[in-house]
Amino acid sequence: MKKSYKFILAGVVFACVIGWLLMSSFSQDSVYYLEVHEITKNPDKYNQKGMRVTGNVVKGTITQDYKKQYLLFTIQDIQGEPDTIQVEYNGIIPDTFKEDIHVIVEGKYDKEKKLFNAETVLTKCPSKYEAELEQKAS
Amino acid sequence: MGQLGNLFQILGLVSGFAAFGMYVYAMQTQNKSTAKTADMIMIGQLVAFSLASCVLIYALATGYFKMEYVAQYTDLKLPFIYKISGWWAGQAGSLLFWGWLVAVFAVIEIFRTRNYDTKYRSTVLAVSALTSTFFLILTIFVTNPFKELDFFPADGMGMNPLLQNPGMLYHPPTLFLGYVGYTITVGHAFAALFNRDSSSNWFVDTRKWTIITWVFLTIGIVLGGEWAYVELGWGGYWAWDPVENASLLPWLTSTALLHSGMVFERRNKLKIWTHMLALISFQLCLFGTFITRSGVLDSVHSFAKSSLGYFFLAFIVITSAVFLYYLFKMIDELKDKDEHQFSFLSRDGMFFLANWFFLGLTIVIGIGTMMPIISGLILPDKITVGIPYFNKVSAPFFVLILLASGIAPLLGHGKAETKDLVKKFAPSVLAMIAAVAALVVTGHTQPLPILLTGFTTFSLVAILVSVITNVKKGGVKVLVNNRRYYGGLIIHLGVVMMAYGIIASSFYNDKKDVTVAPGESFEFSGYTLKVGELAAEERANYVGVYAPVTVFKNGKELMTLAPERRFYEKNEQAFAEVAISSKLHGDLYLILASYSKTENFVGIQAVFQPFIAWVWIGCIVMVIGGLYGATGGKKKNA
Repeated sequence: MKKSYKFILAGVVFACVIGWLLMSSFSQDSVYYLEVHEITKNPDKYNQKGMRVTGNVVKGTITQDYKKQYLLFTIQDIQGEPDTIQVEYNGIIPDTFKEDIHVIVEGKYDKEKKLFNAETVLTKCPSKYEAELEQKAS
Repeated sequence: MGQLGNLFQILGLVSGFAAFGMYVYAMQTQNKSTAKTADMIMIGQLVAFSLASCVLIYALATGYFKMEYVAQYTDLKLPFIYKISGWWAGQAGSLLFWGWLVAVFAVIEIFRTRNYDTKYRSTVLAVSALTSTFFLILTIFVTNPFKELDFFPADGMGMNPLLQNPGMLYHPPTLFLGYVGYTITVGHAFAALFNRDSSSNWFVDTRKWTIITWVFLTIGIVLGGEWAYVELGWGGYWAWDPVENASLLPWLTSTALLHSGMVFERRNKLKIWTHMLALISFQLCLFGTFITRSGVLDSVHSFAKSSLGYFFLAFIVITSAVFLYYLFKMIDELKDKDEHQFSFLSRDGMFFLANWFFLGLTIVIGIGTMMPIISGLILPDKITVGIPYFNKVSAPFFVLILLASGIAPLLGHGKAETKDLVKKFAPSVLAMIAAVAALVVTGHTQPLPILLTGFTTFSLVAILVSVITNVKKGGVKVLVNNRRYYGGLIIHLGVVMMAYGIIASSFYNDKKDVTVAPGESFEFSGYTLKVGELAAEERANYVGVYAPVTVFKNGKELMTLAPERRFYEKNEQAFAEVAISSKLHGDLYLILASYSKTENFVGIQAVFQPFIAWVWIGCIVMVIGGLYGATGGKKKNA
């Protein structure tokens, strides 16, 4: 019997360690995972908070400077809402970045300037051509 | 042509259902002739699957763009070999490929187990038949590669340039092989439960399947990293992307499975663990596909959202429930009996701990990956975690795993004596202290990489000590006679090499972004890089623009690298093609980030990744170890 206590104790210690690791890491490293309309509807709540937002790059809104590695564009809600936010980014512009594609931006939102400061811009692309085919055919 | 492919698919579906039904009947009645008929039908399913695949490959190769799938992933100018790789490049095709592999494995198993007990083998094969048929349901009803358009496009969309890399030819197939093999393992685990057999026979019987599948999974994951490294051009190989994690999770649990199974085989312990790990590994492989295909998580790899996810979820839940039902039915026979003989300070004890470490790692990575979904269900806001989270939560587990992998080979199977231990561990501990001291003296200050290097060195020396003492005792022939044990040690050696590579390249890499005029030089990481005039080059389906960069060290010219940007005909945007000079002590990695002829500038991102080559070398060593161990015979105690 004594040995089975040892196992239970080990299990409890293990669970605590995992729990503690998760909690401490979440509190420091987690960011909000939002849609564009959630920010525009509630700018106070998310002001200057770390977040990751998915959106569609609006046509005709891209300003880019390859030399200075600067990018300014607007993304629109992907769930069909009309809401948009402007995104500013300094860094290497991803190869696949262009108009009318899905991007995932990570960074902070500034409600005063109504501007999203992106630290990373991820373009979602590989093997995703579906829907496009019909457009090309017409 | 689409109809023909569909016809074969439906034939495969019908035979799949028939075979499954017959196997289930044979499971109940032990009727040999029913099982025999089911075998023939399963072979028939493989034929139908293969013919359907041939139709798809033929359509891809000849550019039959009326089939939507062909039009989506290929075009006229695509090199032939990539046209063929279209089989697994897209969603529908890759599911067909996966199902086909399950059918192939099932037929191999039909022949391999032909003399086994009818009830047992019927159970194993029923699991395979169910799985292969599940994939056909998907490719017929949810995402059909043979769907035809109502017009014939003049040309296809072409393959994404990022996929036009040799990686496309070998990464997905190896990864799929690394997933599919667990269908056989889990089939045997279930057959043992269904037959109320609590012995380790099922594990021993599938050991080779499991190891070889594990080897493929290892290669698949590392090749994926290598591909990202050479093709995606951010200078790294692992970004904790949901899809990458999805392939790592079954690797972690199946690594635990291999360890747990050894204790099961030798000591008749950890039975529930081993069964559960077989189930979890199999389900995580499907779960990985669910993650990629359902669109529930945003990832660079994700396919478009579709209803596929529900099918996967249903399959995972139902099959797990059945498995668990039979597991609980015989739980008393599976429980470990003689716990009092168990000591943590034995090799078995270490294996037991390793189970927990691997499972813990699986849980924290799994929770991080699923965070957007989990938090969406229980919290008012959806929350996600990034790279820092994964690095932080996984680091302690990696430390523990390295430590356990160093301690285990030096311990016997029984409880160890303290005096012996001190003698055995002295060299490893000394080496660990020396490694830490060396790093500190040379001015390294970050605690985590120092700690990790220390434990890696501990593990390395422990492996060497174990080999040397055994060879001294029994001569070189022990290395050949006990291939299972030394295969395992070789794998650990590979892990250690990889660990050094990962630690060095993640903590001590160097990065610089510069924009210079052609002809100018800049200093980077001990090198002088001179950027030359831009040049262009026309190829089959793209135009490449590159900047020759001449590399000098201490005034001596070493080489010229040519980072490039490619413009593919079907894509408006450019794709960076990096230039890498790979050496054992580190890689010099150059990206042509930007350029302009009119403004006369070239933007280069330079990265130095120390010891990264050891990640790939370590993987090769792991594969060698796995294969060497797989050739080993039955139970032999080291």
